Amino acid sequence: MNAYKFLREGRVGPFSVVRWPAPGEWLAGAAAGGGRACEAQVHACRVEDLPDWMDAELWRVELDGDVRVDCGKLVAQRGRLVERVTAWDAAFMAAFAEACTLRARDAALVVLAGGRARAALAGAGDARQIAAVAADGLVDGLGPDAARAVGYAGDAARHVLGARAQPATAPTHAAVNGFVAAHAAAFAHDDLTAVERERAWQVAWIARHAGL
Amino acid sequence: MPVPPLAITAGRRPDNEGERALVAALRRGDEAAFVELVAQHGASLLRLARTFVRDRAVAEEVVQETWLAVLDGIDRFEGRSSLKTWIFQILSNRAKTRAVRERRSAPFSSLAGADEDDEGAVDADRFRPESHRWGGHWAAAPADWSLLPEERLLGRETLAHAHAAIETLPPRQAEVLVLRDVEGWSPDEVCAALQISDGNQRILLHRARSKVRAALEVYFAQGATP
Amino acid sequence: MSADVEHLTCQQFVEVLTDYLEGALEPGERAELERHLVICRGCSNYTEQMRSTIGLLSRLGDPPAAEPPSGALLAMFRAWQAERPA
Repeated sequence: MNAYKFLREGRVGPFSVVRWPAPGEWLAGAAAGGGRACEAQVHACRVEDLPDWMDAELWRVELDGDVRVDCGKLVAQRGRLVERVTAWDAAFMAAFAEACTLRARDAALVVLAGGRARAALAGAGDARQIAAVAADGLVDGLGPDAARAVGYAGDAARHVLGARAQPATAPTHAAVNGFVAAHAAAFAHDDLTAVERERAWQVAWIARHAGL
Repeated sequence: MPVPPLAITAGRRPDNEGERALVAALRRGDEAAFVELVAQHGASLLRLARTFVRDRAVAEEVVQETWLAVLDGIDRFEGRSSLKTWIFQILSNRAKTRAVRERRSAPFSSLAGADEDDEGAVDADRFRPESHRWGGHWAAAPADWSLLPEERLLGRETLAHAHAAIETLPPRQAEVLVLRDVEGWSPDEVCAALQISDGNQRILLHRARSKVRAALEVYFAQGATP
Repeated sequence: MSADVEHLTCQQFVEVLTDYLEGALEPGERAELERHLVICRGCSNYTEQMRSTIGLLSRLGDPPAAEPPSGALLAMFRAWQAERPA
């Protein structure tokens, strides 16, 4: 099974704050847990887990020992970095964030009944335009559900602009937008199963565009 | 700036051999053993006494009374708990007795019952209301302290503010916080010393830490550029 | 429209952070909290603030330079010592 690992800049574990060794060298669970005995494990992702754990660097990893799936991630006794997924960078994350924004826009269109707000949103094809529509006065007269749905799209759009303005913030904005889009879909369809469908769409997008 | 480790390591490991030798020497009336014991625990005892009685002079008296009680009781110390825990329990009893006596002239805020708060760790108005699309999420996000210069974050003035914050805590919260985070005792040691469950200990620690963080947040915000 | 997506809010996060730092959460709860940290800069900063607070508190306990017992304390010891049976 292909395994992946998100790390902070400099190969640093997001929660353990332990620096992973250079590719090829094994890291044992006890060291990876940052000192807590109960954390004597290495964590990694399957491709379907990627949207939940985004960070600055994405690596292919190899795991060793009794590899288990546990709460949306892989758990093993030790692991090593194999190679960096070079497609995964700030620009990629911003692009993903924008793709999620369009999805949130689509979810809002489901909620909006008609009228000028809907037309304006339907015509908004990128984050900048969506942000502009969401900030426009013509959304003021919308009912609470419609306003909320447009709000999700507008929030997502602003995150894209933030990620492009400050590339260092791209991981957070990308991760947030994955969450916003899933949330927007569930709200629009009043259906919690929409979350899983939206996440699956995100996984497919990432796999296709990053060549995983 | 390097990020500190996630877990705070447990306190010093008890040195049973050393403790037994110290107790034996004290029983023989060895002054050097007493000096050693005071060196090991004196500062901690004073800090702990001050979680019960605000006045430093009164706290010093409590510590002195504690040492006398330790000496008077040293023949009866059976070694079932660690020496540290036993000394602490003596201090705790002395300090609470003294605190009750002092309370007649104590400020209103130090009266018992202040423990039973069910306020949240953070003021509810820091979060968006339930009706908002992001209900329960931060309305105003906490500041990034990693941007503070290290001298400010760890400096003497900051330590003084942390100390002052501890002094405003309800006594039981202060006790747990000082033992765990200031003195470095393990959760097990604290539960044994205070005769409380692990869950109870964690709740008190949670409330205490939350209050101190909030006090520091106010302090750091005051110095921030508008 | 009601859909409340099953997720940890920030208001809930700040209440379980102590349990997390103490290692008292179940694996599922810990994963949920860590997923929230990924998407929430606010809670990430809050966690950092809490760690800094704990670090500061431990410095309050830094041992001072070893002080000899006060004269009064030594006098008390010697009085006690004198009363001890030989």
